[in-house]
Amino acid sequence: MIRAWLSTGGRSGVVLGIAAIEMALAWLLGLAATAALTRTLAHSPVGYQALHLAGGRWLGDLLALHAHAWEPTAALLGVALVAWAAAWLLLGGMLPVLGATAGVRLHRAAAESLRRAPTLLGLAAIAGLGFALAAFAGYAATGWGERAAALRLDVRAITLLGWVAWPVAGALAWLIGVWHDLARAHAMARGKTALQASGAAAFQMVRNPVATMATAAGFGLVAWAYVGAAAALSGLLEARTSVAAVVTLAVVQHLVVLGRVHARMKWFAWLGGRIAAAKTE
Amino acid sequence: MSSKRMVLPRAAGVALLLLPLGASAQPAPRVADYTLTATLDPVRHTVRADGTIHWTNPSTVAVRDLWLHQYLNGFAGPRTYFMRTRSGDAWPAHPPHWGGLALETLRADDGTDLLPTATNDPAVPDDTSQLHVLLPRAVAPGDSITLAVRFTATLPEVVARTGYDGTFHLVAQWFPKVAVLEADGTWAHFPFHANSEFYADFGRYDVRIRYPRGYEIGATGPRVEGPAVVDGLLEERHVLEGIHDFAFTAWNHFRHADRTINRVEVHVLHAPGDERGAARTLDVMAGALPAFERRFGEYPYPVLTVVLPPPGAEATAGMEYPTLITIGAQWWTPRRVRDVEYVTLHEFGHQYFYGMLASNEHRYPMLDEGFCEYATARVMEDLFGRGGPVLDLPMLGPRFDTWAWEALGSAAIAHPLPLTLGADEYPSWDRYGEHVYSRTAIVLRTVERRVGTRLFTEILREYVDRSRFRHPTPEAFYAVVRERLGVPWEAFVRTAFETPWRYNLSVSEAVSARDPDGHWRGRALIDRDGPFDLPVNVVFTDVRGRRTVVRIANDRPLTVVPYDGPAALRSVAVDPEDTLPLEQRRIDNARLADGLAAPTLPLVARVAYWVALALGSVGP
Ligand SMILES: [Zn+2]
Repeated sequence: MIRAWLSTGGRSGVVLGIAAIEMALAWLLGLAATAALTRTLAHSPVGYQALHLAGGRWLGDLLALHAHAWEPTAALLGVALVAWAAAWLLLGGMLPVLGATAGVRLHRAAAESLRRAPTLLGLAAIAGLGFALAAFAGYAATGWGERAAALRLDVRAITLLGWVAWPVAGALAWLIGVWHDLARAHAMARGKTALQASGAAAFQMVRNPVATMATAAGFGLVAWAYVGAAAALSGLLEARTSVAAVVTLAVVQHLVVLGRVHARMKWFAWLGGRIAAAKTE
Repeated sequence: MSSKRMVLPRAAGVALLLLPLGASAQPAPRVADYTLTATLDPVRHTVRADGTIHWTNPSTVAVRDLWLHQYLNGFAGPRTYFMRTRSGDAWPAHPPHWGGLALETLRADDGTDLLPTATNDPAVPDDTSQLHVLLPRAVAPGDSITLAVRFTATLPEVVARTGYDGTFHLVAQWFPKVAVLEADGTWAHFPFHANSEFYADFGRYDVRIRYPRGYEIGATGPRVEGPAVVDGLLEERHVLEGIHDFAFTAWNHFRHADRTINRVEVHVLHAPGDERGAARTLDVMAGALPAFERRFGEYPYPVLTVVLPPPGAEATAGMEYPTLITIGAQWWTPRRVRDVEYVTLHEFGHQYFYGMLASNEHRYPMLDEGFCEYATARVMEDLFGRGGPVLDLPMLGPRFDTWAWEALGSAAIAHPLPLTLGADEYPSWDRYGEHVYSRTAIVLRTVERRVGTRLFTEILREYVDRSRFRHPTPEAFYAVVRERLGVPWEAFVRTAFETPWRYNLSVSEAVSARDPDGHWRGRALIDRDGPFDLPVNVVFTDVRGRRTVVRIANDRPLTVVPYDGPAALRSVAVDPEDTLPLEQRRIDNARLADGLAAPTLPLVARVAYWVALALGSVGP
């Protein structure tokens, strides 16, 4: 059972490779964001634990001390985010290529992803528009909820109705995410253009809604379950400063990223299989 | 008319009830008594009222004039002194609906109409928040005059601590109020400034409030009559002595929760759906009342009303009036986010530092806001444990303490000013706040840390006891400090209060090297930046974990402390006990010996994880 779940059809190497790329980027961003802080903390006898001690006084001191470094740090983060967006596009093309065919080497997938960059950009633009619309719908629904609730003057109902809008917008965003995965899979596996792939993805969602959505939801839930477990663990360990606690947390957190990439790989492999099966029908 | 109840038989009992409980020790003077009948029109947002002001000259000289404050006129238009002195986004630039106080009758007890000769302060153009009234006769020290008044207060849409939002009304600054005549015969009158709160004399307030059926009200003082139907309106009467202001609230959707705590009737008025906020408020009051009474003396009033304004009326939240306070709360915040508790404690603390003491909030805002802020943090710690955590959510990062909040607020001051400036002397609301609230509180906290909580509580208690109903100035506090702690401590407090300062201690160097005799010798440099000569401990820790404590006088800008030990120096800390929380920074008070570095990789790993998660969740 576990063995079946872990199996990615011969893609373990590339899963590790993609997770490593993601973590490397995250470490770069982490280093950029904390470089100034760590220089100060390294002088402190308690090191990074100072952040958790003295009721927030040392953390506040640290932030005040580096307030002037805020702008360069923000600029650095801006650059890093652009780099991340580029990597996102690259990895976003590689996953469907790797999912469509087992045994593709990582650099071949990267080359293919780069070659199809215009198509990937087109799909990302359409998805981005969809996400923006979902956010606006959520915002608009919040206002509607508040107006409706205001008539009853119950502050609890006002807040709750406002909140209901966000899961709805979240569900919409999730649907767009699934569509985006499908469209990329169609574009990369069958060489379709952005518009053709968009249509094919929508068609597959309409034709096979249950299987597609259920599978997407399943893999999505698994990925978020890892995150949830890690969050619970960090709740327990966040304030602990022993070496064992720190190492445990770091290992678990890296495993979560790996687990997430693994679940995504399995999902794209499933999509690749479906598309291949549809082609041979 | 017919349903008006007879009150006379109850009057005697009522009179006993109305006296402040602490009155036996030191009764509140009766300088300004107000007897008013006020009718709220919640559709026009007006209060029409008439009655009398009975004023007794508390000074040592006879006076022929009188100053009245009509602060609702601060919201009479865009050019008032209040609106002109407003800074940043402290208050809205423009309430959608202006307000004002229209005085229609002002007549002396001999029948003289005082309005024709009354003038606004010519020193403050375009502002009607003060009225200078010439009296028909001189009022000798101890003598009284009764003024008959009739007026209409028009409330602004919620702005600074007052106003209406829909059918919710918070009615404050709604009547003409006599300024304080100081003992030397000078009037402490001032225009309504946007940084400033209030100053008034004690007296007996006897107010009948009439309001439409369907509304519920909360008001200063205990309700001694009603509600009963009078002329088709509901009427209730509130009477209390030993107070210096009167406010009330009315809404047709109020729910209420009540509890008697330490013989005090606590009423919480809240919006439907905010039952949880009300319960939290009562819970914190159940701890706060005994804690405040233990530290700062008896709460002398029989009642406390806490108002949780509905959404939309947040501008009225977080304010104190005698026995009536407003707080802000979200019903859904977790209990470990102690915003409700913090604000409730602060506004309740004002029943001492404002209510009972009644220092001049315009001239010495630090005496109410700063001392109250200290008291808030002190009781936060009493109720919620070390540091008084205001944010205690381990899942989401470090704990955040009230004391750390005050210390950081004081440390954030970029351009120090004295703490004893008047409210109008601080150039902006932000600079007013960082000095008057945080820095004052942290100076008091520093004395507490130095002399011990127990002794410092006794000192504050003595200051409160002596100043009850006495309008104290900082001198009253200095006197107690001098008597209990001596002249050097008085000098410290005076310097900390009256001069601008910045203060910091840091370890700028920590080194050791092995000598031929096998000993490790070296030194620590303790840099001091700022004015205070207060001895502190310097603690050396060697690589084997052995600690050596050295007491230094800390009376110069640089102290060199030699190290001599059997092992290499690992770290040096100055004042690790945090006896000087007024320091600019605490993180530079400890330092590893040169050449050593503490691990910081776990921090980068933690940040990297959150970055990976955040980017991954929207990732490829
Ligand atoms: Zn206050």
